[in-house]
Amino acid sequence: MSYLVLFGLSWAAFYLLIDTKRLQELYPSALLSSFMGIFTDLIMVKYNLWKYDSDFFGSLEVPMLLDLSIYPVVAMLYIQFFPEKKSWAKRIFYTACWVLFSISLEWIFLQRGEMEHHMWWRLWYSFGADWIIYGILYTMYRVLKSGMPQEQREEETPLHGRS
Amino acid sequence: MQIYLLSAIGLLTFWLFCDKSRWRELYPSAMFMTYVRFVEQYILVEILHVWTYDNLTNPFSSYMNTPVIVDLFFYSSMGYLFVQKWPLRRPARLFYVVGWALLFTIDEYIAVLHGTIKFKAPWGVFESFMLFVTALVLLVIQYEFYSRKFKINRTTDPKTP
Repeated sequence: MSYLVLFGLSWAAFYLLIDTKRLQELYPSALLSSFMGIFTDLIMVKYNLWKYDSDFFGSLEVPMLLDLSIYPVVAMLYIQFFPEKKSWAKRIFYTACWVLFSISLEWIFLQRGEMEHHMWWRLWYSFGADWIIYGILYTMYRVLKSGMPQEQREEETPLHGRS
Repeated sequence: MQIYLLSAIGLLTFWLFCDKSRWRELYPSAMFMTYVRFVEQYILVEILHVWTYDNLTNPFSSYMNTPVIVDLFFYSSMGYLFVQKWPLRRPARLFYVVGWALLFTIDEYIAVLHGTIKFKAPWGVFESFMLFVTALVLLVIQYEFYSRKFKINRTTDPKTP
């Protein structure tokens, strides 16, 4: 049931916070996040480093639910509110907040028994992986943005939600 | 063998025929094509078992049940090329989608004949064809959405062909 709530909350956050005028710019980040999610899910079917458990869904259905909700929405929110014009320290602090949010969510699911780590995987590895994932998302966003038509770049309004 | 051949075709196609100067515009399409393949593999192979892969010999077969290098190299290049050559006229678009879907279906049928893919009833070649048509239509929809800004730029900038 928690995963269904998470699904609903993710899309509610999308509806309330995403700047729809920037959807085209944010779309590659959402796709990349979902892509990385489904890629690891395909590996985890056979190489069982972690597993989801739910009363409502089968253990294989839960990752699909996450790939189509929290992963793309969080990626879009992370990029939309990224403090690009601020100092490196503030950017790192901003990313650390998102990493903390992600790792806290994972910890809650572990505590509730709705997620299990297997073999050599630990929460600390997830913490490291989250930094890498957010790093990839931001790097790809920067690379794509540098070649976007000027008109689109001028329209961008960082640090602002839907107005 | 077919897995390596398809991966090599994918890499060669990208190298020889894909317009690398448009990569920022077309990269999401390449990723989307592989993404759709991964979603299909996850839902249809891992959850519903409508087809299975036998004797997989790709380098990741000890970690994954699917021919991942084909999805990563072949389908991403094909998605890139498909969108790059997307026709302007409506009737041509229909034949274009059907033609590409047929090519993918033939490739899959060869894998069935070689015993790499085993369909489980009621899944068959027609269902595969319809799945490819759906994937290609979705690919076009996401491209039309994402590339709108690039198109506006091309039509308003006289220097850009």
